[in-house]
Amino acid sequence: MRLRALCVGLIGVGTLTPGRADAQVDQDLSALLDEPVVTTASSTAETGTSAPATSSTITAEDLRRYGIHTLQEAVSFLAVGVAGQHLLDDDELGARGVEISSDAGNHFLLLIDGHKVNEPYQSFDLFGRFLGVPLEIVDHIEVVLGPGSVLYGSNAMLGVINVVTARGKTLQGARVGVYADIATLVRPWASFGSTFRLFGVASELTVGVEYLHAEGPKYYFPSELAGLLPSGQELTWGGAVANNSSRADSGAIVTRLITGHFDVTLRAQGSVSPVWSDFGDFDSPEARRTDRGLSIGIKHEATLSSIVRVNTRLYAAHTDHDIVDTVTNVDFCPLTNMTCRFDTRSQSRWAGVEVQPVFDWFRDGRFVTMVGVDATARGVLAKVDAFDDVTGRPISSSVGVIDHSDLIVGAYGQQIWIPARWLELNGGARFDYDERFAGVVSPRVAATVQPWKGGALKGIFSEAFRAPTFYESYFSTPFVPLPGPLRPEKTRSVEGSIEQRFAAQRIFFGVFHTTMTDIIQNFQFDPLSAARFLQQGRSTVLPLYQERNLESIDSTGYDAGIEGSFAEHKFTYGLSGTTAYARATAFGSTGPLAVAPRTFGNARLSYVLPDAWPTLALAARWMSSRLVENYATYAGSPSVPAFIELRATVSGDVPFAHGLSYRVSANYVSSERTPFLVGPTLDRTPSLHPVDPFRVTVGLTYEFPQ
Amino acid sequence: MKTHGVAVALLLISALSPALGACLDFTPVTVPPKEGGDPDADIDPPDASVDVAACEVCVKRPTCSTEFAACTGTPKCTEMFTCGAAQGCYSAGADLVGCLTICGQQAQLSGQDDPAVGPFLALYQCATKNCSLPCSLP
Repeated sequence: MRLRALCVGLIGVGTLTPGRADAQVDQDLSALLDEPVVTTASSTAETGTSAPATSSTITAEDLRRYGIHTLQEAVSFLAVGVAGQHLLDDDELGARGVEISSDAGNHFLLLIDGHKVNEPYQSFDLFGRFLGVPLEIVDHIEVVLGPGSVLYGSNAMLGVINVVTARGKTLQGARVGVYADIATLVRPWASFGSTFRLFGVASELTVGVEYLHAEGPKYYFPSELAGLLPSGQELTWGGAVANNSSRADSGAIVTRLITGHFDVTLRAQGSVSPVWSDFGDFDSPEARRTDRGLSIGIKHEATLSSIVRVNTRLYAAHTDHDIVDTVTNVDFCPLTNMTCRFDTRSQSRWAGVEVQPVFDWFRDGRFVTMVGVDATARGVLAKVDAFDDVTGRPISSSVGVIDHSDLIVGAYGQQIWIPARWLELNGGARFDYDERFAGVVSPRVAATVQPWKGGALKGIFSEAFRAPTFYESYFSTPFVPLPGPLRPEKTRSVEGSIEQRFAAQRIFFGVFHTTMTDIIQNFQFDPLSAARFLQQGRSTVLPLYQERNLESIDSTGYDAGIEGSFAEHKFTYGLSGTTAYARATAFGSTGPLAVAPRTFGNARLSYVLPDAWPTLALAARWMSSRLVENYATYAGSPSVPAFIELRATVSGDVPFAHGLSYRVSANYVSSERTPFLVGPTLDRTPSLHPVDPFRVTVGLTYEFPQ
Repeated sequence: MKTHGVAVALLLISALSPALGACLDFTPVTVPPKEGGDPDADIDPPDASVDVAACEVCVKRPTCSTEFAACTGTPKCTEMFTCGAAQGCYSAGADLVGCLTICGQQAQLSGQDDPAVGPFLALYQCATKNCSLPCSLP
């Protein structure tokens, strides 16, 4: 969202009369109106320049123009400092040289209309095609880089992503559409936006519905060793095209109702998709995961006086995951002539309330105090069962059984002080209580100095944390002992930036240093440490692995970018890049991070041709080479090469068909593999997730006449 | 038109919500240890895929003889060792999960307190360190 959109109803026509307009005023006004507005960084609407964080705003127009289909694509192609990678089962996000593989996305905090999505069992985030929000109803996406726990609590380690859906008055009317990746995927969708009066109160309604069916891409996987059968014979994995594992279905519905001072978002989603575990059989037709979610978030804003307003948020959500996998490998199914079927289930429910009084002491935004309390009640159920795949009879008792609930509470305060037109200060801290560890304090201090026209210097110090998930805290089996008391992961970041705006152009350069400590990972027991563990009486059988605070990460680097537009926004462009030197330390040894690129960035340009001609857009992103996951276990520390991804998009109205518009994209990736492991990975060379090198996507939209 | 649209939207919401509300069953499954659920699921004797005799010769050498002697003093440990040798548990890259699951159940280990655990672990560590080649699967 840009100021232009915010101000269009506020600026009187009289101030823009031609008689008073000169070139300089036009330029200044254009620069002001083109400033992106962010609300995520400090929970207050402010310009990107003054926000206490490095941020990017991706508009609905950006999403359409550049042929964006997923949240991961949006932030990778259009935001600063975030690098996404597409995997077979979902997408991974990293930032500023740090990416933690297989973290279920839980080092980013994902918000939808300001409501947290990360569930307590695994803090699962979905950045790919199962996000559960049709992008056609997204108004804008705010990406805030760096620690953000000061207002949001757990998970805001690498950043906060807020997907904001469109208001009914913005979306006005009914639309249906379909987009298809040629021969692999089809996604019909519909949206509706309206304004009306509900019980005499001005109201707006937004509805978005989508259904996705995928039958590909179908990849060939070379044959590889997958362990042994109980008879001692070798078991193979791959050697064929994965047909069953290319199918997926998902559906989602999102509604947003704004009535009076209430803003309600209701979201429901469900998906059935393939499972790519490291021990499961290859391309098993039974191996599926089913993910479902239902959530409601209600915001209310009450203005008590010209000084005090109170924001209140009520929220409740339910998610569940059912993962079924078949296994013949003796290591996991040690029964002769049998295939085991593992069923892993989890369910998270949470509900809470956040009350946030805001005091604008001088009624002019110069000295604003915000305090807040956020309390959430959570409950998780989980278990893992093993069955004989043929008879369906259980072959062992349930393991990993979790039936736990708790209450977490966060209290925070933030002070914004603007002592002069050229100086803005922002300081705050949040205290989070969780019964599993000592309370955590997450401070942030930021200063923005605007010493000359269009220029801004910014300095930020911030900390954040990620609480252990319920899985990390409570999952155990006979071979996986419960962890000891886990500490929350913590991150601390210091950054400085300089930004210059001139008319509708913006140049940005920033440096950062980030440390992350107590990263939770699997500690793999060797025979000696397993024996010690037993002798200490901490387990009843030899343990295999255990969740522990193991690793710390340091990352130092810079972000840079330039973006803007010419010719009344007909021509837009952007270019950004990040370089980071990141090192991970565990067990006293330090080395580079797996799967994280040292250098990455994106570029884009588009042009709106006149009259009925289409809009042309080209977007690109690139990454330097990346070490493969668990690279230290392979000879020579293998890596995948640098790649560039290009996407050309043409969009416009279909001639002679009123209301019908089209969008065609062609996507090319110069790489064949990601650095993420797939399959049993017992061979000496790693087997890696494949990449679809060329894809053509066609979309059609019909807008009903109003 | 507008009223109709709102009604359709609300209908969609109400139709979808119950489907999502149907809950998974989280009642833990309990299988009595002796019955093992399915009779067919009982652990079969391991195949003699490894030359157990050659493996034994190696572990009886001075490097592991103390550990071997301690193990053979406990019947369950002896059974675990023989089972482990047959499964190739002492070969390079052998996975502890399969070995322990099969051999531990076959020897009917009672758990951590079982007197066979200590001697077996000692012998296991010595065998994997010094006898991985003769104890490997062919």
